Amino acid sequence: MVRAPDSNVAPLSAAAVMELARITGVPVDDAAMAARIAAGAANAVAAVREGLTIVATNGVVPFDHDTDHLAALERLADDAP
Amino acid sequence: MTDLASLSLERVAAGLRCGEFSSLEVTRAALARADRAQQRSNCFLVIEHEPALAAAAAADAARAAGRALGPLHGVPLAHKDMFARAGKVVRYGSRVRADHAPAARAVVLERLAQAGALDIGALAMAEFALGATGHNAAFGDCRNAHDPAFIAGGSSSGSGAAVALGAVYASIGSDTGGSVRIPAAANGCVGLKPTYGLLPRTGSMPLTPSIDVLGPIARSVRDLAIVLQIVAGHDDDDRQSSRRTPPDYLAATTRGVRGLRIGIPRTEFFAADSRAVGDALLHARRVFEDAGAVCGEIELPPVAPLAELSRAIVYSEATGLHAPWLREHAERYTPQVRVRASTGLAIPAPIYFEALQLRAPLLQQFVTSVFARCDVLLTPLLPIEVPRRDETDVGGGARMWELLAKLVRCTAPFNFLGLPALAVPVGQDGNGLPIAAQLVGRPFAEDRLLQAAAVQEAAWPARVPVAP
Repeated sequence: MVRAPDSNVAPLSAAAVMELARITGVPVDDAAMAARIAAGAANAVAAVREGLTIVATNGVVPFDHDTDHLAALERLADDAP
Repeated sequence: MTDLASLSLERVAAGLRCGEFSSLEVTRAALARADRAQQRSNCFLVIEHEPALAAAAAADAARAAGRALGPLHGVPLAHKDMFARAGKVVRYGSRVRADHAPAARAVVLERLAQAGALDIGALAMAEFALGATGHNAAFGDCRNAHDPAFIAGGSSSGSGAAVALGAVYASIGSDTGGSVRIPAAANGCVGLKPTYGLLPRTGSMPLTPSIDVLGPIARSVRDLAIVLQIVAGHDDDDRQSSRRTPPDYLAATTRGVRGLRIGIPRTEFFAADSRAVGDALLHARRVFEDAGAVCGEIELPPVAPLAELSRAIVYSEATGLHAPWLREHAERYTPQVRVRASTGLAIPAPIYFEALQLRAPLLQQFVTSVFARCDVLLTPLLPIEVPRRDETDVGGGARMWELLAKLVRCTAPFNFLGLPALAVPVGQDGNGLPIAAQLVGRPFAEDRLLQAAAVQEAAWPARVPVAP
């Protein structure tokens, strides 16, 4: 059984986003813009943790599955009754 | 005299074949309509009058010489401004790419050209396809075909509006979170997000290569099937394009739905937030039942996280793709789109990787549990009535964010899963704007969706084209 993480995720701080921007060289103008970026990402990050919870509840190990999504779709199409 | 621009793609192609009218006549009518459509909805980024007329004259000459190319010989089309067009500038709806003019032609456009279709211009889109409403601060908003006060939907906003206004007979867009289906629905057209991998993306703007699909918008189910047949199929230059042989899509539109199992999700997630939308979906269910389908409510696996899971991938890959342009030309982005294109900065790499890893198990869970009990899933396309442009514009506050989230609520989960999903008109709201249903199938079951959509269309005939 996979242990799912806690799905409550606070957004990154504006300062953290500014630091990531500095490291990557992608310009972020100010703390207000950084805060908007952090807020936009927070729900997506939380959803990933929620997704891990769902598959963990079902006893599914994500890493046992196709990493090639097209191959997964084709296999499921071929399994059609 | 026949209004050539109002004919279906199937009808105009047949008329061209038998010499009932010429491509020059059809293209002149389309260009006149495009000019009026542009004034009404701002659905084109560019209309290429002279090249289009020259191509039409050449098409007529080729036909007269017995060299007709294919089923769309001489039919004028236009597509979202995100496809390489053989040396023409492709803007991606943005000022950032003002001088980008790839020499090649996108494979889907090349296949349409090989079938004889003409290309009369480039259609409006949300900047870099990062928007679901049709707002574009760089080139002006694309407005709804039925009422310019309302959104055209996005990101393939010009495709939805131009097809609905009769400027072109069909159009290719792209769909990473609902970008074909939403403008199709908002403008009263039929729009298909195919299974991930059915259409090759070679020569098209990437946004999120793990999720991006291209898809057609048309005024009827049969027109959509004709275009899909031409553009579907493997291309060696897109490693994520399937080698499966597409079935006969046009034949599927005549099969009816007797015995087909239609699943109605038993979950609040797909509940309509509008009485008009709810009533239209109920009517759609009755249409299926009257046509002999077996409708039943079914439980779905958890779908609520899927849209956000999709965003984890979209933002991560979009920021990776945009990073070079953001470093060089950040000032050329409009502010809202710049934030969206930069959001991947705040998604840690392990989270992105886990989102990718979750796709296969969640897809398998969804397909095996849902499509064991039904052949086609019926949901609202938009749970709300088509919103106004002013209530979804920048600065709209909490209400704006709520509406934006609802626009993609029913569509984005199927981008994450990669399943085919089709928008088909099934009603009209109190503002006279279209209401659409979404039909979802198992992987590569586009023919089933067309089969079911044709039955809905017979009960709610197209209200498009509308006069510009």
